[in-house]
Amino acid sequence: MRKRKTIGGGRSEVEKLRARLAEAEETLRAIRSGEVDAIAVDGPAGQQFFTLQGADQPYRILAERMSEGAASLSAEGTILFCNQRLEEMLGRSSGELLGSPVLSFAAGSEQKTLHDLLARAADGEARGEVQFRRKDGALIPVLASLKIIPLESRNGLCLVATDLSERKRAEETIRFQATEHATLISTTSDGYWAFDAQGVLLDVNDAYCQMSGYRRDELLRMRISDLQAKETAVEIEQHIQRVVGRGFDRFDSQHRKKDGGPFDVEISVSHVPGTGRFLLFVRDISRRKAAEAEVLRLNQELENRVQQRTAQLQTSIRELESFSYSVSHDLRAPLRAINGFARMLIEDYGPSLPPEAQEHLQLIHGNAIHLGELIDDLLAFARLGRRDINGQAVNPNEIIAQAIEDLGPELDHKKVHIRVAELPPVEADPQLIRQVFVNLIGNAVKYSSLREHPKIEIGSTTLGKLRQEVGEREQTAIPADLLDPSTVVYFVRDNGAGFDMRYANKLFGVFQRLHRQDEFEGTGVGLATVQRIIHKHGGRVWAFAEVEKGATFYFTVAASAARERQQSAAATASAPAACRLSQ
Amino acid sequence: MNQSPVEILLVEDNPSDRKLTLHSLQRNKVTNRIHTVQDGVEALDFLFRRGAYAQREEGAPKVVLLDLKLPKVSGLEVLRQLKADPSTASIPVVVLTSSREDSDIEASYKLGVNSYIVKPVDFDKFSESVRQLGLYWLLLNQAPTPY
Repeated sequence: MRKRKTIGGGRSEVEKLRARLAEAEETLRAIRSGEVDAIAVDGPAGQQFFTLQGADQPYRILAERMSEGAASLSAEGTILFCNQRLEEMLGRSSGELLGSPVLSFAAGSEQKTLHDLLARAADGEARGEVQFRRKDGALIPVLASLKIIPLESRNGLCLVATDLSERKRAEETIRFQATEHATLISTTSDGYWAFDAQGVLLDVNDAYCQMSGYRRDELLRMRISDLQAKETAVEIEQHIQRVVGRGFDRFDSQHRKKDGGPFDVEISVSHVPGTGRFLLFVRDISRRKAAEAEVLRLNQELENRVQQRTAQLQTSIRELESFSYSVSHDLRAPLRAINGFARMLIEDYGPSLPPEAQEHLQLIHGNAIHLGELIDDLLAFARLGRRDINGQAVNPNEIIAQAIEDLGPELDHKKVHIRVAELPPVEADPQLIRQVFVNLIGNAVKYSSLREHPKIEIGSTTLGKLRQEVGEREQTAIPADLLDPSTVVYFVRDNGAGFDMRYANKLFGVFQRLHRQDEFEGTGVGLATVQRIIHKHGGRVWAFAEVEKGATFYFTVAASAARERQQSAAATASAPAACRLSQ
Repeated sequence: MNQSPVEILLVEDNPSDRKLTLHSLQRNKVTNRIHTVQDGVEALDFLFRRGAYAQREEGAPKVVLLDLKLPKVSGLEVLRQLKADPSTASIPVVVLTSSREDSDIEASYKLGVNSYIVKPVDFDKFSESVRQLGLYWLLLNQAPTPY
């Protein structure tokens, strides 16, 4: 601070003013000549000093940093100064811009707009949208604010240019979204509503008009309560409050058509925060509901039919049982009498009867016994049919030991050699599987009884091994539908009379026999019983034999099937024991 | 052994079976007094001393041989009433029937039958069963003292 100019006190008013004028002129001169670089200003807080350098700098920084483009123009529109932002906006360097007319940067048709703006600004200020063309040819929308500013000896213009590209893009997006929204609403098959917090409909789409049978103008005069068939006005109000709280809800409901008929709907409703508006989609689910009802009805019908059939089945089972009971009781009594009195005749009067008469009496006696056995076996066989499987883990070796014991008197242990291998456990009904072994071993004993050294072998293998080991002819005896090579196969083999494989298909039929009664006695029920038991266990049974070379009976037990049956059997009462069949 | 003659009540409607049973008992030297009735009603009348048997001398039979399939009142019903009444509950009952049906066997045991014999068709076996009955119920197994 080389000089300090202050204004002195009173004297006359004129002198004062003159002195001030002289002082101001001196200050301006000093500023222009560079003699002064600071001014002092009197204010309520006393004198304040501002350096000119300090006054200029912030504005320059401000101009450079502002997000708008800025320039100072001469009155004719020549760019005198511009900031970096404007350079970026127009895609040109300051060298290209400074000294050039601003009009030359406006896009062709926009030059007039800008020209008019400049003209209007000459009166003070002007504002308007103008499109500039960037160096790369792209158009850039700009909001131009022009204001007159004093520049040296004459006036100039200040230009502030705001880039509108972003805003234009945003507006475009909004317009596009609105179109999308409208398309969506008008083309969806779901009904659409907009409504307010009072439940008054503000907008609906065509789909809802079709669904409800109302016209759009009718609907726009209605409230939710006019259409809801399930909720009362109070409930609707509460529901709206819940949607406000949660923002969204989805639920099944029922609306009422113009003709009064209700239809099932699924509602998705959301609250648009801050607008008091709700958007709601209505899906007509009457067809789905009808299908659901139909499924229910069909299930019920099926259930009824099952019950009906079960009842019919139970009736026929009961009839069969009483039939069996009668057969058991009424057929045996007369037989017993025939046999008994024949026997009494033989015992009491035998010696006095001629030999032929004695023989006839013996035949009556023997046939009556055989018929009794047939009846017993047949009844036991019939009983098997209605018996449930009591499946459990069974040790076949224990079962076989019991079966051999059951055979007791028929077995001459000194003569018959029975070899039993260690067998894998099986899931089966122990009593029934024992019957299988009793019948198969009994058969083996019977048909090998004429051998000098009857041999019976009981063992197991797997289906895979069996298929590998046996010859071609025996292959064909194995049921073709047995596939899993790991399936356990049990067998009972003898060296007895065997049979001709040509008749193998008759083996398992009731009362079917491959041997004459005078060769080997029997009722022809034993193997039928075996087959029935094995089938009840989901298994298979087959045989291979050659005449006079022995026979082998094979069987499988399907564990899973046995378990299923066990479950079904668990539901019913446990069944009584099976009676032993004579061979 | 009880000194008084052992009385057997045979309830059997089939005349052949009746004759066969009696024949077998005799053949097996069972010489006790045997009384035969032909249906369930008669059996109950005898046991409870009513109707035609109202005047019968006191004393329960030592054993009842009971057929199940009887006219009028079934054997199972006779068994039920007999076992339900304290005055007759202790009389041993042997069900003697053609029926091999498991339901009958189960029902009989539930009602407290003492033994159950399925009458075999083979007369020799029938005779053997009767013989065993005689030995078991009348000789080896003393019946409770009559009231």
